[in-house]
Amino acid sequence: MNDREIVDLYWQRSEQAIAETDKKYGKYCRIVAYNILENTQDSEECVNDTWLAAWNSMPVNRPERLNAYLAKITRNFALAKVVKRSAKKRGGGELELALEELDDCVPSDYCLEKEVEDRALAESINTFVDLLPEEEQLIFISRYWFFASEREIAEKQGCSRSRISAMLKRSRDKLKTYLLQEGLCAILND
Amino acid sequence: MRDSERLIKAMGELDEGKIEKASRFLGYVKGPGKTARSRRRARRILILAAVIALILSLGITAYAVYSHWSKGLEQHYHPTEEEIAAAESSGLSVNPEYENGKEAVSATASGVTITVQQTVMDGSFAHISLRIEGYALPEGKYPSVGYMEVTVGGEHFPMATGYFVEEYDEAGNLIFCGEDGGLEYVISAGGLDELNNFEGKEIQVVLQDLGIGDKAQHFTEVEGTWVLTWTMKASAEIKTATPGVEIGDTGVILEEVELTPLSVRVLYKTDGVWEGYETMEVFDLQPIGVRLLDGTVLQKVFGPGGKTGYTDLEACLLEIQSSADQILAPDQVEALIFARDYPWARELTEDELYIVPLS
Repeated sequence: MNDREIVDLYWQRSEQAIAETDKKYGKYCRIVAYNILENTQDSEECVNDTWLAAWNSMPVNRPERLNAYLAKITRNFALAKVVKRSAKKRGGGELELALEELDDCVPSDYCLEKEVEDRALAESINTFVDLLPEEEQLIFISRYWFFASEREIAEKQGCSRSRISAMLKRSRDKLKTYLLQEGLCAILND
Repeated sequence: MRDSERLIKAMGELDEGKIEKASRFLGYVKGPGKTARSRRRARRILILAAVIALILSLGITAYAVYSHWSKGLEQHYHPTEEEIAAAESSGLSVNPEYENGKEAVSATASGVTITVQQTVMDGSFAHISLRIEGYALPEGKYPSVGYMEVTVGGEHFPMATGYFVEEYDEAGNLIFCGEDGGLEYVISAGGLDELNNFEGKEIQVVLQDLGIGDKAQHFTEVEGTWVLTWTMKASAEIKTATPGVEIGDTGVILEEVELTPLSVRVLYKTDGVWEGYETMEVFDLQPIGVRLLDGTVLQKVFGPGGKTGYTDLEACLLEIQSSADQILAPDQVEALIFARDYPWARELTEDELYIVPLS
């Protein structure tokens, strides 16, 4: 069933919508959740939450890209869930590693401007990602949106892990410069 | 919130076209797109002919109380002795195979037997613990079920998910444990009002193909179909309230509350439509706990909202339903506690709590 037909089922309030969504995107959303949560039980709960959210948001919404729409919802729920429990069970996990990597994007004597609203920051990040070359963009999103490991990204790209690591470092340095130039960082008080 | 957490959250709003392209690059979804290297995994989907169903009625009026909590449900709820006793007397927790004079709800195929060993159910959520015997999980692998379906009262129940119970041994290795060396699989279902109120309804659980999983990809090791059918027993306890008051100085009015042993549902009237609604971000005012009649404050009871959505956009009525991480006695709850700004991540101070009495 194509995405438009699935969305139509939601608009018709047919419970078949969720069955079709699960069939087509269940594994995808579980991967998105699992990359963040690294726990099967929590990932399953997250996917369940996503189906409920999809059910409640359509009608009203009619997403053009259903997979990305669902993935965004799953990611939001997973990020909210991960802070509720310790991620140290598996040595921190990819999310914690990604956070540590991004910590370097804000210079040590700066912090992100608290006055910048989340929506404005999101638009700025979107613009930044647009500026990246295509390959770098794919790898940046794979790492910091999907939390795929460097090894997994390297396998998909057919290159060494060190190359991926170097590309991500380059992207983060660009992000650091961008945040400063756009005035999104403020000097920390002494 | 940490700066890198803000950046991660901001990334969430990336253009959907870019997200879709990256998901194809990673191989998470199929479709046109180029990857430098693709790996093909053989995946067998098998439809099986053998079906064994046992119908068991749980409508008995007197039975011996048998206290036996599965590891999975114990991990989930950490029940106290008092909660265990209360759960059994109210019908919240049932061990079908220990009901006097009744046969176990069980199915066998391909040498593997799956048995319903415990259910914990109220009017909102159902948790079903299954014991799996006769399947030898290969070492170092994650167990997986190829297909799972739940029907309630003859209707497909879409909001059902399952997971294998796991824990870490003394050496820090992840192990999948169950009774006597078997596996435990827990199914959780809930959230759709029109199919809830499980008491007295017939439920059928179908599991198909056991095997191993790798990041949600399934590889079948044992082909089989197990069908488990029985009449559900659930707790009917519920506390409802219509406070109609503002939650602190938030501008949000708490219109309705429904509290069951396993969940809470709140209905807010928001000041205008919340802008994060379209992508279902986490609404920044969440029920997190309760205050009991004896004054005890339980902060970390409810997790991030499992169901969030407007029931009436024009009237700005926003509903949030969350499951509880511990078993509640609704009649002992005096007030509901709310908090903002990712409250699950930290210990909250008193001035961060919004306490709303339910009387």
